[in-house]
Amino acid sequence: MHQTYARAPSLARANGQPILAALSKAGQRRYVLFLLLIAPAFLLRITTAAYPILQTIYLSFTNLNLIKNTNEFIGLQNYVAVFHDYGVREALSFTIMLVVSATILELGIGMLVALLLNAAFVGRGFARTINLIPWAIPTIVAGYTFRWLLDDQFGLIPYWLNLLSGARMVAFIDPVSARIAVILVHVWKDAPFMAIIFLAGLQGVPQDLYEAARVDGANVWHRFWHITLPLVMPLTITMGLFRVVWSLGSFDLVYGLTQGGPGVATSVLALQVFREGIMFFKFGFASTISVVLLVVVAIVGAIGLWLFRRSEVSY
Amino acid sequence: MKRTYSRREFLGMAGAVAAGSVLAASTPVTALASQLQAAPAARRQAPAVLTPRKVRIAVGGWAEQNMKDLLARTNFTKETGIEVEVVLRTDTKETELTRLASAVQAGTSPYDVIDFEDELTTSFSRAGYVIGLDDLLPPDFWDDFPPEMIAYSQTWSTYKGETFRIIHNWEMPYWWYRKDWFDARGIPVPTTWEEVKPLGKVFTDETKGVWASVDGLIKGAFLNVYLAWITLQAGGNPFDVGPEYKMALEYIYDLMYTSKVLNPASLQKDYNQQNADYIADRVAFMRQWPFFGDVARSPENKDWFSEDKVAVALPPAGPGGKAGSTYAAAWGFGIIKTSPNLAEAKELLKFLVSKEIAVEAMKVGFWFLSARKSVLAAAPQDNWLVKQLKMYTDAGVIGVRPFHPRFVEALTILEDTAAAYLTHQISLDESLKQAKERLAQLEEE
Repeated sequence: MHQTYARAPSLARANGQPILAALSKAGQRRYVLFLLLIAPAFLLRITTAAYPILQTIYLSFTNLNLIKNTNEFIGLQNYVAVFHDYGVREALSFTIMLVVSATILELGIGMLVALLLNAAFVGRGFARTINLIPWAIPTIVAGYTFRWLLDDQFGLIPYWLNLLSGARMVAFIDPVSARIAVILVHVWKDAPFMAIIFLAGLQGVPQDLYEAARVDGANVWHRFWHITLPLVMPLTITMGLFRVVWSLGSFDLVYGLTQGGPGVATSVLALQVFREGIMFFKFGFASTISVVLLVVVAIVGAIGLWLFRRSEVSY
Repeated sequence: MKRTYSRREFLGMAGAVAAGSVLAASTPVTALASQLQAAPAARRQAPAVLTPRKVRIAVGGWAEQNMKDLLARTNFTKETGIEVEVVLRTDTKETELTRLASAVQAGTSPYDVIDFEDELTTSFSRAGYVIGLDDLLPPDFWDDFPPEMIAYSQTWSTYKGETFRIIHNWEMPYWWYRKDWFDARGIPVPTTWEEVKPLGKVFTDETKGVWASVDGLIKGAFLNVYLAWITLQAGGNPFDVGPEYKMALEYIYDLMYTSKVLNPASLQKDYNQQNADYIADRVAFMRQWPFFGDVARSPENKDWFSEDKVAVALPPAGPGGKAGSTYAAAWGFGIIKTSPNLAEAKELLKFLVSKEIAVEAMKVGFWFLSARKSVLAAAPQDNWLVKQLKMYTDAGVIGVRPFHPRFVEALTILEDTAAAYLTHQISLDESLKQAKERLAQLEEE
């Protein structure tokens, strides 16, 4: 049975006439109703999303500082200063490093865990439940907890490493080990969530595809590579994109774990926004860093959408 | 029976409802406006009602009960007729600054009087959020303060010649040491920087995780405290990034990596971790704020505690001489400019900072202990904290805390650059260059 849908009024001008004039009476009424019905949602989005973004962009061209009571338009000065700022430059590089490496590891480990949790074994329900515990812990709590777990005197992890190798580990006084520690804690925290999402994806893969492949002689690896992976690829890209965007905007783990140190080795852009905006009240400069962050998110989002379109499969 | 409405009817009804809502919403405004116009007449006719005078004071959670006890004990409300509400301020200065900034911008304030720390004093006074207090003080007010506290107040509580905060809590990092360990080895307490260096060989055993000293130097104002402490001992202010600051950084580096006195892992520790190291018998001596004395004496550490384990000596003097061996930090009272109860707030502040009430406050709790003459004289002389405060005051080792007008931003710059040097990310020269450039930039803004 064919279902017909009323056509939405075209926004284009018809024969050079204004839209409303070009429509019949009934069409005009339908158009007004259409505007009335979308108005609440449109207003909501304008006030909660578009306005803050536009205001942030505007503020990025000012020297608004609540402590110094300045609020003047200063053109591109903040943008010049941002790229000359040692802290912001280092934060930008570690932000990209953290987001890319943590997301790849989370996707990989999440997939492996999901494959395990999808297998049939006794206690599977329990395993699926405890898998989510790290994700359920508030991030700031996880940050402080790992600061103790990595403490050179009382930390469980340095203690184990000491038993295994005899070396005494001091994670956060070396920039490389501090960065690795932050990335791994990030992965520990978020990979379980990825696993649950992938598990849902895996359960949606039709079993008859696997059976047909088995009949054709495909081994486990072939089945994963040619059936599982392509079918969960859109989900992988969507989740990867979400993780990237969420990670770019968060700083609670870094704040709890290292405060961005040693030096600025583990500082991230969101932490810089917090420091400049909330600690120093330099709203103009903090807005500029936010705009840089917004551009990074937009680029990553565009790449993600492009990949998503390429990965669509049909069966 | 179900009735269907045509689109015309639906739109008509929706319009009527919307018009009705607008009219209904505007009615109270109109009514309110006429009420306001009629108000003076009504006030003339109404019997006089005495509105109770009220004031709100914001204190940290740790001082709430002390403040309530003090107000009850001194009968402030009975004597003045002003009811005082003790409210809690947030523990972190950033959050409090955010809260107050938005309130002041809106012309109001969640409290009238606040108990606040050094960092907030700098921000509040320069932003114009607090009022000058000099007119509220009697002429002989400062006679009750020792020169160290006056010098401190002039630096930290004063802006453009006006006092914005009256301090009641004045405490400094002490030099804690394991007297039992020193006595067992027959070693005297070090009195100079040079005497500290050989102690690495005496106490440090890296394989056992034991170090001569430890500190809490994680970023977020912890590292800055130590940088300021050591630079003051070198005779300078770290925010000047002068030769004394360079000397201080070299000395800290030496303590960490050459003399092996100071555990480099200090750079990842906060004060709780530092205290835990000390109480786990991993440290021979350390610089720490007085709260460590309470931690060490708490019931959960009673099996470990003995007076020999938490002895206090004067800090080793640096090249700057003993007068700047340590510094004090303070908390004090101020009044918010946009306070809704300004007159009452002034009365409360005058009351709290008076000599008699300052002494009563100290009796209620040591949160109100300082080296103010009347307070220190009335304090129980056998108390460990009072003894320590008196020892440091009498020895004349308390310098003025290194100051910067944009303290929070400046300390972040020093922490970033110093930590990068102390963790081998940049050279000493590069660290100093970056600190200097970024601080200069701060002054230009």
